[in-house]
Formats: sequence, C-alpha cells, structure tokens
Amino acid sequence: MIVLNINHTNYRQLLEDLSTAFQIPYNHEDYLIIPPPVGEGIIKTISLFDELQVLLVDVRYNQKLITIRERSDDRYFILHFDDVFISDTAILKMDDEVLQKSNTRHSVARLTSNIFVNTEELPAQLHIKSIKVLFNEEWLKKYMGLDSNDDVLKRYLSLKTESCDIEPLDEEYLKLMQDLWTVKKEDPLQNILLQNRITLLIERFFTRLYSKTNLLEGKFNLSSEVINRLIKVEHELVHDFSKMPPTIEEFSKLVSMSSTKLKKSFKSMYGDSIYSYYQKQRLQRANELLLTGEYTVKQAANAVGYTNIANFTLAFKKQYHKTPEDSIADKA
Amino acid sequence: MFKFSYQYCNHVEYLYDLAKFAGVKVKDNTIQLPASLGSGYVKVAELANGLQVLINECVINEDVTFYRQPAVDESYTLRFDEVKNLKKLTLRIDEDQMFEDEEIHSGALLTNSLSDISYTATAGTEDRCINIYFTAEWLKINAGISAADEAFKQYLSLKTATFNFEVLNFEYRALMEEIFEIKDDHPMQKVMLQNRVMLLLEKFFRSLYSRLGHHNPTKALVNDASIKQMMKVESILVSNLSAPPPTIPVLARTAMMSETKLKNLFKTVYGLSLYEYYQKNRMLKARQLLRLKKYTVKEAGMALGFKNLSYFTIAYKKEFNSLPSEI
Repeated sequence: MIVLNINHTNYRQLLEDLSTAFQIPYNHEDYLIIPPPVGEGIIKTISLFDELQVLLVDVRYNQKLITIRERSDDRYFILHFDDVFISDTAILKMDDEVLQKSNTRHSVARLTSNIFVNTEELPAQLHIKSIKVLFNEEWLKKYMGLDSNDDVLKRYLSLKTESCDIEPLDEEYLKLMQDLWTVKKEDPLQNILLQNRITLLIERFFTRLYSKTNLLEGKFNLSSEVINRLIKVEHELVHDFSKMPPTIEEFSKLVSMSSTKLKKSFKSMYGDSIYSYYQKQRLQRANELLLTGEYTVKQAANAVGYTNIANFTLAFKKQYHKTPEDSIADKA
Repeated sequence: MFKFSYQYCNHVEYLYDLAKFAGVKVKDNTIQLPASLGSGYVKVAELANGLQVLINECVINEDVTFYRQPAVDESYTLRFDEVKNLKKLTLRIDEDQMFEDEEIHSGALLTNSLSDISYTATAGTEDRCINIYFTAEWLKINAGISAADEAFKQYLSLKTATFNFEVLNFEYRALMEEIFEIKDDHPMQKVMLQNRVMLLLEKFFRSLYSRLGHHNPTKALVNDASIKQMMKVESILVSNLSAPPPTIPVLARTAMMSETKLKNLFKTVYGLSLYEYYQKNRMLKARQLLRLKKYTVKEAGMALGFKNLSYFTIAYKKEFNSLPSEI
C-alpha cells in the first residue's frame, strides 16, 4: 500500500511525488509512465492559461494507493471527471464524511475544494480513467465569471460526499474526454484542441450545475436524505448486471418512498428514468468490456445480463450506432 | 454613398471610430446604427483570454465603403459573415480586386492588418458577423498556432481569392447562432462566448491546415463560380426549416447545373449530401430551441415541420443519441 500526502497544487510535482513513492524513473517531462511490476498506464499533465492545470490519468496500480489532499489557505478547486468501473472497494473521504463504492460504475463529474481534507483510497488493480482540472478562486472568477462564494457553489460543496453523484457523465462529456485522449502529438492544432475540449468540459459542468440549482436548493424536495436514498438506489441498480435489477416496487420499499416519488426524483437527479439509466449503464459496461478486446460479444452480453445475443446487438446498436463487433474491431 | 476610412489598431478603437463616423455614442461597448446609415447594432466583447470579438447584426441603407488603411503593427482579423440581399460587393486587398454579385455570401475570411483593404457594400445589405481580432503573439501563446507556418502564409498570399476559400457550413452556423443568442444576464455568458469563439478559430485553422501548407497543396477541386452557386443552394436549403426542402430538380435549376453535378458538388463543398445537410440543420435547430427551454418537445417538433411527433423523436435520437426530452 502506498500513501501519498499532497500539500501542493502542482501536477508536475505530483508526477515527481508518484515516481518517488513507487520508485520508478521519471524523465521530468509532462508525463509519467507506470511500468510493470508497479502497474501499467500513463499519467499526463497539461497546463493552460496562467493557472489551470490538467491531469490525464489512465492507469492500473498493482498496489492500493491512498492520496490525501490536505486543507490549505489558498483556496483552489479540482474538477474530476472519473470514468471508472469499481469491482473492489474504493473510498472517497471529505473531512470525516465517507463514501464507499464497490461493484459499481463510477462515471461522474464532481468538484472538490481544499476547504476539506480529501482522501481517495483506490484499490489495487482498479483501472483508473480520470481527468482532473485544477484551478484557483481567481481563475474561476476571471475566466468563468463565477464567484466561489456564491450560493450555488457553496451549497454544492457543503453537500460534501453527497454531491459526488449529482452529475453523471453522459455521452457529450465522454466524447470531449475521448478527444483529449486521442489528440496527436504531431497535430499542429493540438494546443487549441486541448484547450477547447477542457474549457468545454468545465463550461458544461458549471452550466449544468447552475441549471440544477433547484435541485441543490431542494425545490424538488430532494433533501440530502432523499439524495442519500437515491444514491443507494443507483448503486443497487448498476452494481451487478448479471442479476435482474430490483423492480420499482422493491426499490420503493427499500428506500421507503412511494414509487411515483422515487421515479420522479430519480429522474431529476440522474436525468434518466430508472430503466433507461440502467439500460444505458449496462450497455456502456458491455462496450467497455468489448473495447478491452478480451471478451467475445456473447461474453459481454452475458456479463450485463443479456441471454439473447440478438436482443443485445439490437440494444447496443440503438445506443452506439454500431455493432458490438465494431467495438472489438476498434480495439484492434 | 458613405465612405468610412480608418486605421486599424483593435476592435474597441474601431468601434469608437465607427461611432464617431455614424454620429452616435458608445454605450457598454455597443452602438446602435442611426437611421441615416441603417439599423442594427455593433458590439465588442473583450474576453478573459485577451481576444476581442466584434459582433454585429446590421442592415445598411446606403452604399458604404469601408477603407482600412494599412496598420503599423501586424495583427489579424478573422471574420465569419452571413450576408444577404447583396447587390454588389467590391473587395480590394492591396492591388488585388474582386467583385461579388451573388445575393448571398456566407464565408470566413482571415486578413492581415498590414494589407491595404477596402470593401464596398450596396444599400440594403444585411450582415451578421462575428469578427475576431488577435496578434501573431496571441495566436502563438494562446492557441499554439504560428503565423509563420506555411499554411498561414500561403493563405494570406492568396489575397482576394480567399474570399470564397472557407464556406460556412452547419457547424459554423450552429456556433454563430449560439453566440448571437447568448443572453447578457447569463452568469456564464463570457465563458460561453469565449468557448464558441475559440471553437470557430479551431475549426477555421483545422480547415486551413488540412488544405494548405503541404508540399503539393491539393488543387482547388471546385472553382469559384461553383462555390458561389453552392452557397446559394445552401442558403435556400436552410432558409426555411419548417417547410419541406425544395426538390433536387428545383435546386438544380436554381444552380443552373445538372442534378448529378449539383449533388456531387454540394457534397464536396459541404461534406454531406443535400438531404443529410438539411436534416442535420433541422436537428441542430431543434436542439437549440429545446435548450432555450421555451419550447416543449411538441412545439419544437412542429416548428420544424414534423407533423408526426414520433418521427421527430426518432430523427432527433438518430442525430444526438438522446431523446429531445433529455435536454
């Protein structure tokens, strides 16, 4: 197990810290390769404008990694775009609040701030795919015209770990993230491309956050208690695709809400009805499996609960406009 | 006939010069054209990343000549224009001069401040324009693009031949529409504007780099006259999205060419077939309407001429992979 205390806001320094902690070579470039036997993958940094830093993480460590971000005086924010399938247990902590996630897809955009101590416990073998954007108060004010003391942000941050699942990543987010990963070193326009995708990610997060103010203010009667229960429902819904999901009636008993209220509040929080959310998530999971190149169409279909391959292919085509075989071919 | 002569430093100074010429006052970096000249507004936005963007939606009542004297310091303007009701446009870049007599023009144009430029537009011309001002240094630092690149130099050396170099397709149009529709009181209006402007820049330079700067630049596949015809066809195609599009035989007659030639040319210039292009525009328009939150799904569908709402939903889903209700 590796424990990393981070008390600075410099992503280059973070690469340096990681290389020391894992005892791997670092060439002082803007990327760090994680070689076997430590794990596999790459971490890249990009810095933009004056104060914005970006970390692109695509790694799997062979050991558990705990990162602790200390509280500090100069106020800064990190916007995380995580797209991770957690099979073991990962833990996110903000001060004393703990959010434990296991057997679930964690595919969300979330904003953290150093007004709290942020701890992440990432289990060994977890495939971490994440984009992190770090900026300070001044940047937020200057570039986004947003005041870090305004009600929406304060309210959002005060939700601590509950805020974590408010903004699931949809296809538009995922596409922007994909563009960041696939940019070519020799592209003369890579700079503007990176910059535009990153600012669009930030814009999307904040515009959606602000359009959800009602939700944050509880105008849909989503008290933090209800949010907690919805998180539980979401977890039950997607944590094991090989079993049939509970019915709406079962869910409504589980979280003691009427089915009408459950359906309505689930939709306002996750943007989809319970069933279409489930459907999207499991096809996304299947697509991930296929993209590894290690699964046949049949295996992937079975893994997400389809017994009939034709039905699976139909549903897959409906969502991705391509066949499952195309996904396997994409890998190759 | 008016003649407005100015020396270019930046958009803000230009706006003040223009205000003086028009005899109006600048308020919040915006001027309203006086009735003697026309109607509409011109405004300048200063973005956090240092860019200045001039936005105007105007109609002019008189023939006006804009004469831009060469500047001392080198800088660039990249403008995206959607021009209608044009009787005649005269454009001169240094000693190179051209006339345009198509009624419609929608294109992007990059110019260098060291050039001696003038253009004359006839009375009644309607122009919606987004004009970005930057220096070579800005471009290098903020976009990583060097004005010394071969593609960049080649483009500028084409002078007036660049007038029809880059046509505005639906992607440009969608970005422009989004810019025109940003509300001044939106808490994130500045960043929304900046991001769209940067996307316009990215898109323009992407096209420039893919077409110029190679050792053997791809020869222009389409001649100027054909590009003008295609602009006309495109504008007809997107002018009324609630009615069925004109048929291909009708469009072919408008463009004075055979149907096959029309279909091929359109695809070469705009990258999509006529119908795909029409449909894509409709769907973008639908999304735009829905995002305003003033229209229900049903109203948006009707506004775009769908009588059957489930066809609308299917078409929308096909385009964006999500339902219209999921905005």
